[in-house]
Amino acid sequence: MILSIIYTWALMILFCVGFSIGYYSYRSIKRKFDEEYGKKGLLFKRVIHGIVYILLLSLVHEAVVVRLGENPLSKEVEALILLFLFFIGAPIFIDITLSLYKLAKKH
Amino acid sequence: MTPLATFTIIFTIVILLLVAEIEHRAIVAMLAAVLSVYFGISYGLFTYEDIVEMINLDTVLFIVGILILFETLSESGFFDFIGLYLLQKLGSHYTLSIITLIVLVTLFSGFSSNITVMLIFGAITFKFAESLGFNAKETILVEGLQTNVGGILIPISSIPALIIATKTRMGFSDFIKISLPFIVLLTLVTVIISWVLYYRRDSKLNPENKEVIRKLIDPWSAVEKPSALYRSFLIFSGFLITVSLSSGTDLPPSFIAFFFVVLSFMLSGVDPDKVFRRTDWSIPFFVGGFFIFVGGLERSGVLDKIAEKLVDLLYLNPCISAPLLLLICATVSAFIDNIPVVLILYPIVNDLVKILGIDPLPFYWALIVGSNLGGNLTTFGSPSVLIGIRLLERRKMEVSMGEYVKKCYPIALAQILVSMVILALMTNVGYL
Repeated sequence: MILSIIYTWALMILFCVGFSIGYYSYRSIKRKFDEEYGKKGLLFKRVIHGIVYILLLSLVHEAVVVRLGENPLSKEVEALILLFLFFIGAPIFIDITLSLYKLAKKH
Repeated sequence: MTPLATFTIIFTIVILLLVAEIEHRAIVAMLAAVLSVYFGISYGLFTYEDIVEMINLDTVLFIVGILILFETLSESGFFDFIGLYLLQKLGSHYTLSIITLIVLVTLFSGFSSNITVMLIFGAITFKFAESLGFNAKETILVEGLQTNVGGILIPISSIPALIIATKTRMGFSDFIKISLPFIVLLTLVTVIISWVLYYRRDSKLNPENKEVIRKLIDPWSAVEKPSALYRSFLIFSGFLITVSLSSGTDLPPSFIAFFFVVLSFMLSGVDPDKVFRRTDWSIPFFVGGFFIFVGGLERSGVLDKIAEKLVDLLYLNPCISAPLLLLICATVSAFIDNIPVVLILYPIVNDLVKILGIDPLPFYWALIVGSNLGGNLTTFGSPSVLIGIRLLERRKMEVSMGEYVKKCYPIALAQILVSMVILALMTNVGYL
C-alpha cells in the first residue's frame, strides 16, 4: 500500500517536473523564435527551425536508448525520457502547425 | 532505430540548417560531427582511433596554411597595389579598364580568398566608377560572379578544388592544364555578355573624366610597407613553385604550407597578429567537422543510398553524365554551401567510378566546376556575391532577387552551359 502511494507520488512529481522542464524549454524556444522570426516573411524559416528541433528530440531519445541497452530499468527510463521529450516537442509541433497555417493563409 | 535511420535524420538536420542558414555553417558542421561521433561509436560503426583518420588532418592543415598565406599576401597590400597600378595605367581606356577589372578579379580570386578579392575590388571599382562617371552596380555583380570562376584556377583557389586535388593527389600542372581552358573561355563569355548587356552603352564617356583617374589613383597609397609587399610576394611565389613541384616528393602539402607560413611570419615584415585576426578560422572547423560527418554517413550506409540514385546517371556515356553531374552539383551548390556538397558527393562519385570501372577525372572536374559556379545562381549561394551586394547596399544601390536574376542570370547560366560543353568536349576527345 505504502509502496504504491510512493510510486504514484514519484510518478506525479516526475510528471510535474517533466511538464515544467518542457514548458520552460518551449518558452525559451518560443522567445528565440519570436526574436529571430518575428517578421511574417520568416515564417518558413521558423517552420524549418521547428522541424530541426523535433528531429533533434528524436535523436535525444535515440541517444538515450542506444546507451541504455537491455537492463531492468531501461523501459522505465525510456518512458521517462519520452515524457520529457513529449512536453518539449508537443508545443514545438503546435508552433510548426500554427506557422504553416499562417503561411497557407498568407498565400 | 537503425544506424541508417539515425544518420539519415542527422543528414536531414544538417541539410535543413544549411539551406535555411539558421546557424553558422561551422556550428552546423560541428553539431554534425558531435552527433556522428556519438552515434557512430554507440552503434560500433567506428572507434575513437578512426576519427583521426576520418578528419583528414593533412587536408585541414593545408587549408589553414593556405588561409594564413593568403592573408599575409593580402595584408601586405599586394592585391590593392596591382589593381590600382593597372587601373592607373589603363584609366584612359574605358573598355580595357573594365576588361582588366574582370580579368584581375578572376586571376586574384585564384590566389586569394574570394571575399578578400571582392572587398578590395569593390572599393577599387567604386573609385573607378566615380571618376569615370559610370554605374558600378553591374560591374560589382559581374566581379562577384567572376570570383567563383577564379575558384577553378589552381588547386588552392577554392576549398572544393583543394579538397578534390588533395584527395586525388592531382598535381599542380595537371590541374592547371585542365583549369586554364575553363578559365579562359568562361572569362571570355563573361566579358562578351557583360559588354553586350551593360558596357556598350557607356563606352563613350566624357573625355575630361578619363584623365582624372590617372591623377586620382596612387597605387602606393595602398601599401603600408613596400618591403613587406616584395617579401610576401616572393614567399608566396616560392610556395606556389614548391607545391607545384612537390608531387614527386614524399613531403605532405600541409608541411610545405606551414614551412612557408613560418617563413612569411619571420621574413615578410607583416604583423602576424593582424594576419591571425583576419584569417577565417571557421573554415577549418567547418571542413574538419564535415569530414567526420561524411565518414559517419559513409559507414552508416546513407551515402550508398544516395549513390543508388546516382548510379543510373553514371551508367550513361561520360560525355553526357559528367556534364549532367556538373549541372546537379551547380544546382545544389546554389542553395547549400559548396564545401558540404563536394564533401558528400566526392566519396559517392569516387566509389561509383571504381565499381563501374570508368575514368574518374571528368566527374572530379564536374564537381570542382559545378560547385564553384553554382553559387552564382542565388544571391546567398556564394559569399563573394553576397559581399558585392552588401557593398552596393551600403551605397544605396539595392539589389533584389528579381534584379539579380535579370542582371546576372544571363552570365551565370551561360557560364554553366559553356562549362558543360567544355567538359563534354574534353571527355570526348580524351583530354581529361
